[in-house]
Amino acid sequence: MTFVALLFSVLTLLSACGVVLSKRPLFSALFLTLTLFLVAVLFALIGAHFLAAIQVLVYAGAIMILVVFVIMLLGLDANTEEKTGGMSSFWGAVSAGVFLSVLGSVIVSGIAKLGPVDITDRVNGTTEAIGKSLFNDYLFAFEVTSLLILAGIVGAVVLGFESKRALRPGRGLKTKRNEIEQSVGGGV
Amino acid sequence: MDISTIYLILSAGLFCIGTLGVLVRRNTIVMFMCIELMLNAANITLVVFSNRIGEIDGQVYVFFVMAVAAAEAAVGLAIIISLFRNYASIQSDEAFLLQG
Repeated sequence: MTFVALLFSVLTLLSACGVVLSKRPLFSALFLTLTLFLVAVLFALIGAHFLAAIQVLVYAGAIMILVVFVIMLLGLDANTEEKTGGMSSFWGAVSAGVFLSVLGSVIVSGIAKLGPVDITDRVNGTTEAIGKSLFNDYLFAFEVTSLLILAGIVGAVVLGFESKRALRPGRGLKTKRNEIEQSVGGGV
Repeated sequence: MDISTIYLILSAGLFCIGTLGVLVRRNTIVMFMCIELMLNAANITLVVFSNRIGEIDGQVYVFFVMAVAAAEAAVGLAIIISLFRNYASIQSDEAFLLQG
C-alpha cells in the first residue's frame, strides 16, 4: 500500500514537471491531463471514491477539453516563441525551492508531533456519504455554487462575444499602437 | 513511512511546481494550467486531513473547490481568447499598456 502510494506520488510529480518544462502548450495540456488522472488514482487509494470519479469527469474531462479546445482554436503551437530564462527564471526557481523546503520541514515536524494515523478507508468517501453531508450541512453553499457557475457562464459569454470582428490576430490594440507609432514616427 | 506524510509532501511538491510554472513561464495558457496544479495540491491536502480527522467535511470542500475551478476555467479561457484578439499573442509580457 505504501509502495503503491509512493510510486504514484513520484509519477504525479514527474508529470507535473512535464507540464512546466514542455515547450509546446499542447504537450503541457496532455501532461496536465496525465497528472489529473494520477491525482484521481491517489484519491481512490485513500478511500475518496466519489472525488476520484469527479476528478476524472470534471477536471480531466470538462476543464481539459476546454483548454485543449482553446489551444487548438488559437493555433498556438505555430508561434511558440517565449522569452524565458535569465534572472526571472532563476529567482522564480529559488523562491519556489525555498517555499518547498519551508513546507517540507513544517510537514515532517508536524507529522512527527501528531503521530501516524492510518488514513486509508478511515472515512468512507462514497457518493452516499458525501451526498448526505452536502444536502444537509452544506445545502446553502451548494445552492450558491449554482449561482457562481451561472455567473461564470455569463462572464465567459460576455468576454468571448464579439459580433463584428473575426477571431484572428493582428486587429487589436497592438496593431493600433503600431499604426500610431508609424504615423508619429516611432516616438510613442 | 507514514502514508499521510507521503501525500502531504507530494502536495507540497505539486504546489511548488505550480508556483514555479506561474513565475517562470510567460505563456498565459501554461500559467493557467499551473494554477490548476496548485488547486489540485490544495485538494490533496484537504482530503488527507479530512481522513486524518475522520470527518467527511474536507471532501465536501474539495467538491466545492472543483466547482469553483470549473467556473474559473470558463472565465479564464475567455479572458485568454480576448487577450489573443487584442494583442495577437498570449505571452503575458505583451500586455503592458496599464503598466505606465
